[in-house]
Amino acid sequence: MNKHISIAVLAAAAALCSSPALALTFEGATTQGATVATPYVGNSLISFDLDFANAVPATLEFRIDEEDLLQPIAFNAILRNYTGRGIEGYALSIDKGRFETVGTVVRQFAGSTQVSANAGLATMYFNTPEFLDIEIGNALGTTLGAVNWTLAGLQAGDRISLTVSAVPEASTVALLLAGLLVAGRVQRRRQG
Amino acid sequence: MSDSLDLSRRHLLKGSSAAAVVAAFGGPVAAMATRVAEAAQCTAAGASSTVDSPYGVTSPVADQTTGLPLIELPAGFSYKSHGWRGDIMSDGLITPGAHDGMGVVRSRRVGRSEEIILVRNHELSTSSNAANIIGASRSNVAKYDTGLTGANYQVGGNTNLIWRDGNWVGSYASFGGIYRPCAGGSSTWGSWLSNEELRSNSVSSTGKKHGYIFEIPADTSLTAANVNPIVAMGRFAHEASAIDPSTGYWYLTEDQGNANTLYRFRPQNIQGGLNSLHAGGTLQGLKVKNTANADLRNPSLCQEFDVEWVDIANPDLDGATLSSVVGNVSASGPYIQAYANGAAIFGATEGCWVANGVVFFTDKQVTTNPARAGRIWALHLSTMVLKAIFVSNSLQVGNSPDNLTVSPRGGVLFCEDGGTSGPGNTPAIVSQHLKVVTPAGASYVFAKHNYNFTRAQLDAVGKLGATAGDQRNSEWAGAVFSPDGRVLFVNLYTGVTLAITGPWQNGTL
Repeated sequence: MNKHISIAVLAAAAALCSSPALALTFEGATTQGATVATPYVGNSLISFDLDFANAVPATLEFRIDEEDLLQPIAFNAILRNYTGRGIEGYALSIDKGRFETVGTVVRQFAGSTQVSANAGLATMYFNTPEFLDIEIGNALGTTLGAVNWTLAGLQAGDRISLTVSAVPEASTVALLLAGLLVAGRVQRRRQG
Repeated sequence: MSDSLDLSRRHLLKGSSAAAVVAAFGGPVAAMATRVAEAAQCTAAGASSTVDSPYGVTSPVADQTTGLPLIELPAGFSYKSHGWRGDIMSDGLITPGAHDGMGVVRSRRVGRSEEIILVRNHELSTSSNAANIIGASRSNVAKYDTGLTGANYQVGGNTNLIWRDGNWVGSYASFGGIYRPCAGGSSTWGSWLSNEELRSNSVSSTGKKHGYIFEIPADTSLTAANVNPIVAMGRFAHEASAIDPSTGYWYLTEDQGNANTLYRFRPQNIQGGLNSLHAGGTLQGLKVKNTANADLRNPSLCQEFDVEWVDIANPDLDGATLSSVVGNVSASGPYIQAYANGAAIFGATEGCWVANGVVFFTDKQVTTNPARAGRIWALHLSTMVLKAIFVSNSLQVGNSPDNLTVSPRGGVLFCEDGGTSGPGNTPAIVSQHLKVVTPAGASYVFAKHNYNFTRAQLDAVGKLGATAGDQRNSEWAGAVFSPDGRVLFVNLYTGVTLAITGPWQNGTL
């Protein structure tokens, strides 16, 4: 059963975004079960924590305003793994714009990551399954060498959907099918 | 960022052109169905046996911090070490050795970071050098007793450890001047009980006795530990203390051979909070109903007993020799009183944990005749039925179970602290294990001790103060899971703390 992010979280996000100068707006999240999305948006910054309680993709919606376009839109996030399973990687997809630069991905416990981005799709594959959390970009502000990602190709007034999909351990075949479905859906939205 | 995926898998993943999966895999870890090993599935038998581990066989795994293969783990698990004996701590002091009981006392979000604070016991006894008292060179480290007992100071104490965002980030001395804190236990309000393991009537040069419990806050930079003992919880050779969150009652164990029982402490202030236990309460001992001084050292697997509690009038009474039904034994004052009221007799109770209304505790005594190598008991608080859920009569099955923990998913894990001689010591015992008790009362190996390094190997990774040599038969201690169940924290008594993570869902932990 899908659910939208709680009123409390929306209220917190609204408080963060209540100033007209703070242009980028978090508009909501679609998650399943106990997965929780917490936004930390700012001027020209898309930022959030996503605590995965299951492997169902989560989608977050943001609105871009003119002030956000005065500089490249930065992106960072923390993805936490509470699924009880190892995660082999994550995929991020946006339905508008593109990933312009790819910053850092830090696995907080250990291990390496292969990162690639092409237009609106970015993938991260781990050399060993990840049982804890990862930091995309400089989300914590304390990680040595952490660098935010950037997005481009967006217009004032755009509403973008950012979908994060976790790849559970030993589910590659299911992933293949599900990934194709998601990719197809993203493509249809872009065309629409 | 390196690329080390195997080619076939990488190819398949890339071929998908996206990475997502729609299959649901259940709820969050904390909400997973419990699988408490002590279940109605206990299979009546004389004694426990071993089974294959659902996690698979173990093999040496390199520590992510030092690269040394400190332990053996099943495939897929990894770990990071921290707080080695001899390491410089965040407060500039040197990490003491004898890493023993340990608990999570705080788990919280700090900004966007996840932080866990643990308190660790250092089971140090005495030294003729006052500089060896933990925290000696820092005046703001609370200390119970800096006096001499005979020719020696009491040098045991505690350090607090900080784990944040999957990494060890700091440690510091938090309490000192106590004797041999062994198992201990976490409160539900952000503190740790550090328990002296000593039965003694001696008084130090500062007029202090030992064998008490002390409380250590999660952050002693904000609130220093109370230097006064919690006298009402008894003066004896304490091991563990575990709180039942539903009642606020504490359950205590005692490592006093053939002269101990399970204790219950009913605090006067059951609301809890820092220093609340100092307000006093009632100490009681466990007794088998309708049987005075039942000898529970040799149960059969799944054997059950109806039990009740008997009062102990003076928790601070001196110990003495007790003429009991099992012979003359050295007994603590609290046990002498409990025994007089009919309390039961165990070999040597050690680890203790409360989960889902059940008190789990170990009896670590090992004897050859009769064959005994450790027991684990489960006391159902709703029915007051005590059940032997694990009966080891062989070192291969369970070698002197010491500290014990229950995972957030309900799996029972114990730390071995045995030797190499005893029943079932063929084939030879080459290492101590972390073992798991199954719902049917069997055991399997989760991890093996593998610490066997030369001075040069340790120096090469900067561990100048670490113990060299073969430590594989020294004990595991202080096992405790993070509240979310993702990380197992555990000590190698020789002087290392580990954080282990991996595919817990593959087995019963």
